[in-house]
Amino acid sequence: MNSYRAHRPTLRDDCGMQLQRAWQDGLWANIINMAKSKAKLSKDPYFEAAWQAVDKILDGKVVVKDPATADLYDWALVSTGMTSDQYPKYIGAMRVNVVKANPKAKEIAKTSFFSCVANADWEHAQQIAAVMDKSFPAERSFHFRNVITTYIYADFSSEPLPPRAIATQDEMLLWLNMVIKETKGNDLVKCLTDPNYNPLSALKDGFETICSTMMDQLKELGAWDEFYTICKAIFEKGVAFWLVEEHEAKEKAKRDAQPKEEKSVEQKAAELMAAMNRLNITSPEELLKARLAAESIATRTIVKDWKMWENFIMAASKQPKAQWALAEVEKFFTRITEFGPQHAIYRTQLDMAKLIIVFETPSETQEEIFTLAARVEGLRDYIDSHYRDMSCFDNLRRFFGLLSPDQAKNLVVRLPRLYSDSEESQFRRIMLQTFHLRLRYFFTTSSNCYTPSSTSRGATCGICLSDAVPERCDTCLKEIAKECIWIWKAGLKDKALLEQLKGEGVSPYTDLTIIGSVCLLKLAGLDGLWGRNDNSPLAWADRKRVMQAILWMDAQHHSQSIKRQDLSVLLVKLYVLIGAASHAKSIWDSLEVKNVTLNCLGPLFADRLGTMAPGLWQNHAHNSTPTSQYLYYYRSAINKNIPNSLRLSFDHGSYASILGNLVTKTKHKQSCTLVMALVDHYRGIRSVDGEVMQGTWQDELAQHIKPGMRLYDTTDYGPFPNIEANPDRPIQDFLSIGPGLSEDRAHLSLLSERFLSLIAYKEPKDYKPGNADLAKDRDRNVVIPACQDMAEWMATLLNGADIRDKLTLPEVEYYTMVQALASYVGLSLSASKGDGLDRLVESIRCQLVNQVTRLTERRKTASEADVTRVDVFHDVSALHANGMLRESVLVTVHMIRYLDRARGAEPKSPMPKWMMEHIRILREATRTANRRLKEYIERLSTTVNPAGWADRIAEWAFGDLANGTRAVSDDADETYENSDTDMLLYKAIGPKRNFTMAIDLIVHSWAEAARGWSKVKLID
Amino acid sequence: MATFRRFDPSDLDRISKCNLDPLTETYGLDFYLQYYAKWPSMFQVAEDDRGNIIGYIMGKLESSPEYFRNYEHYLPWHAHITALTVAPEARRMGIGRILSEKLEIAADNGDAWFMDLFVRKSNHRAIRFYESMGYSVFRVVKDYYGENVEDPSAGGEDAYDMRKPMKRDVKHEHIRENGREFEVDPEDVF
Repeated sequence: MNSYRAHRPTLRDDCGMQLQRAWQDGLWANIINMAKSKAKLSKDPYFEAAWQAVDKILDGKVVVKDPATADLYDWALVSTGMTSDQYPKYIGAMRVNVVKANPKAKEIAKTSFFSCVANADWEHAQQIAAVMDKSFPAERSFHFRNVITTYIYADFSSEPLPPRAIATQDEMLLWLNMVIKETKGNDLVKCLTDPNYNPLSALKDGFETICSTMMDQLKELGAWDEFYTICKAIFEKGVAFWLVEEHEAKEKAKRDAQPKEEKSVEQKAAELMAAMNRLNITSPEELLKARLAAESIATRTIVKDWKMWENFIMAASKQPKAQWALAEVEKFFTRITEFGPQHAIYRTQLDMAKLIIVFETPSETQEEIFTLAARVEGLRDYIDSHYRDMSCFDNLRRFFGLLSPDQAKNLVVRLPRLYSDSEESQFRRIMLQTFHLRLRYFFTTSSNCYTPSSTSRGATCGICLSDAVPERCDTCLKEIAKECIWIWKAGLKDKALLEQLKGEGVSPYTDLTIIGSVCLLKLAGLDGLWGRNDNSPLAWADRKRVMQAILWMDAQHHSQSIKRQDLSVLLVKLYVLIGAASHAKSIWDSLEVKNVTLNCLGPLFADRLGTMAPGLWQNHAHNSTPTSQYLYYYRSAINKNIPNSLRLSFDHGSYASILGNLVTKTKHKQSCTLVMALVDHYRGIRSVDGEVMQGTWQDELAQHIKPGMRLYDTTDYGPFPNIEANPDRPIQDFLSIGPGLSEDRAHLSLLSERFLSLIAYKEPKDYKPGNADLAKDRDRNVVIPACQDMAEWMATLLNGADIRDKLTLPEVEYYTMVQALASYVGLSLSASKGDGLDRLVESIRCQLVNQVTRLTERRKTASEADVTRVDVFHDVSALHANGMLRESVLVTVHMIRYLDRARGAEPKSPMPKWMMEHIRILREATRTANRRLKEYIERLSTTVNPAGWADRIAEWAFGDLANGTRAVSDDADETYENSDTDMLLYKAIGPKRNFTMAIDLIVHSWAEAARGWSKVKLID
Repeated sequence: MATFRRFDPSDLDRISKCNLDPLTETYGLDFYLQYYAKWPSMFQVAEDDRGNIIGYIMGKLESSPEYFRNYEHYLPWHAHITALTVAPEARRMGIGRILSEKLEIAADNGDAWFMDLFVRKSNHRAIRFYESMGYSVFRVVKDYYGENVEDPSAGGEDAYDMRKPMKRDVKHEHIRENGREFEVDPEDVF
């Protein structure tokens, strides 16, 4: 594989100069002619067409021993579309024969081996590896290739594993992976704690990764007693190693260590002696011995690792004498932290560990009140010490969720005392104020902070004691929003503080903007239900609050000296939500999401783009769509990058990496992001072309995905601010057009694409079957079972209990309709009567009518005076819904055309009347839908283009303040009490702060969306 | 909070905290997998409690090709830091140092003479960071970077080739005190 697939294979020497030259120059017509004549003369299969020749070889059971022939056929067959299923039969077996015939030829064996690996033919890769192992007994790499391929092949075929010897950490990791895979429950615990090899033995070998992996497994198995015992031994040894190390590097330790209590000389000598006894050494110099040095490094490293600490606390808390065990653990941590470089993270780690111990210490051993006070006190102290850390809040989230309403209120009330002193620095004040508001928002979104009540809203907020809906106290949201704006507005004037914040690398004003804006969005009614009963989550939202939130975030986005990616990502989502896709794209592009990050971050922007922004697909012929780079990425990753990495892993003996590469390949081939990119890519193309030229289903990236196959959603929501208390309702859920990627949605979308490809397929123009009726019969024999199969799979998915949580309403309608269309095709082509099919046709018609109705109904419900404002917002936020309607029409029209082709022009068996009637009904429904879509597109173009939009949006956001009917107050008269949110925000981001720029960009983006839609081709 | 471990390819789906930072370049899959396949112990990550990667270091062990042996710029067996990045929210905690220390352990295990890296001459913060870790400038590589961040009109920007001796280099034969006075061209650098 070092040269495998990278170049054309080298031709055999006896090919002659002319053929060699033509081969080098890629003159395929010449090559074919010359090969033909040589085949005729020599009868040598080498010169025959590859597929034909290999078929002959298989039929005649000929054993190919010539490596050049194998190389050539491999190259030719893989290049002409041989699937991975065919490889073992056609090439894999041939590769084994070549290696067996040339057992001492290393390069031939290597090429053959990597060819099998690249094509996932583990059966023959293992056979070749076994031959190599036997032929070159002195070569460890061949030995381990045999081991790994045996393991991989055995893993796939569930056969027992052979025992093998192990030396390096990577070999050990491979062994450990096998053991973990093959052994379960108590047997695995026994294995991991075996006196002959356990985590302590791994450390003796200096294998920190092995030790860590074994400890992780013990944790996973819940073997807490074993974990505690081994961990204690590791920490005892760790302290001993550190003591000896400290002695050896006394001067360095003094320089690095924080000032601490000096111990007497005698005490230190005694400690050192005890440490040496623990390590079975007689002098510190013995640590220089390689093996002991490796153990020392590995042990000293692992006892400083946070994961080990966290699990050690957990194990101690599960001991019978938990309080005593936890105290012991804390002593270890305090001791360990004194050694080595004093990085800030270790101080944070120690404080965090102490806090966990406070929360984990069993309450029955203490006075309840004392425990509660200790918890709040511990949190307050931690915040006091670590408020500068950007991760301070995230570190403490786990504890906030454990507080009762009283404790939460206690903390909220007491926190301002940390910064209320007038002596406090401005920096400390703003950091703690921001923390306080974030904390209050967190509790507002936490169900723990509400107590049930008999009021109309059903609960009482534990913080402000108002009536509230659980996880949503409007009083708190309003107060938090106002306070955020107040502090943010004041901060704009303090240039010295802004400079200091920049120097410290923190941006509390961005946090204030995010918290305040999210409060406004929640007050606007965005609640994470994705417009389950409408076109968009914005359908019934208070647009004033939505626009205020967007304009505020935009103002901070442009003013911030430290670029915060969480704010950028929020803005991208919001701009997509209001239909300003091109503006969202410009912000998204500035984040430079590309290459490997497409798989995990791409969906944050590109999901559903193909339905809502046809303008971005205008240049699809030049491979310049938002999804082109995804497809390029996946093709390279699957066909080139991962096979290359597999080869490198084998070459370098990185056995654990081989397994990692295989997992990576599977996750790429079965990625939900890949499906999203494929489907949106072809949907976008269809929106501008109208016709189905080449569909998702013809793409090699989709062909291997079968219904029911496991698909992987690897979307990374890490870039979003983590401010919500309820992990099941994160912030991105209520700022998106619809739910994120899921296996079910991916399968539904692929099945729909498959249906479309099937019914829209047209034979090439030069295809003239001798017997047209027979050809049609054959076609029907393929289409009918395929449609029935698809309909069945789609029905299963659509009947899933939580399917409505995974789709937008327009998607539910579209997939339901496609399922009905597939059923109809499957049934109608084999039916003699149409009686049972009327219901299906009616359901398809209803789905179309429902979509069309929602497209227009809002115009009827809005008051006359408000109609323009409501309509435009309604129209731009419903782009996705209209995109799905366009797809619904398109697939229905293609089905009608297919029925026409399949049953239309048959003199012997003309289309039955009932089918003609069904087609008439559906045709009328699609034409009505197209008319409405055309009206929608025209309305979009005429309403978003006229001048004066900037004023209108300003008025949406700030009402009478923007149109001048309410006077803007003077700053000098302003107090927190006498001001309101609208006034504060208008003065902070209003015309004087140039918010018209943001508004202009929104209007420009809407105009672009309208232009894109005006080029959409609707087919009848 | 952060825990440290070897890189796994699934980490590429959780590197946004690092790679959305404009100072961190995002490469193709082959780039990361090459290090994972060839030098797995020299690709280390720091992971937070939510599974986000908040820092990573990529390194390798190599020497100049054998046919360079008599060339004045021949590089003996050494370790190289290819990339070191820490997410903005995790900076100032010592995570970069811990990752570098882990790479140095791997370099010593691999019997390297020294660890080296390239850094923009204008990146004073990074230079101070590496100097505090025991690195020193070994030579200046003229116009190593295509773009000059401080002067866009300039043809390129110089790089400092910085080195730190590893345990094998007991006599410190592979570092020099006056490295800033030695200039080489990019083509001299392996």
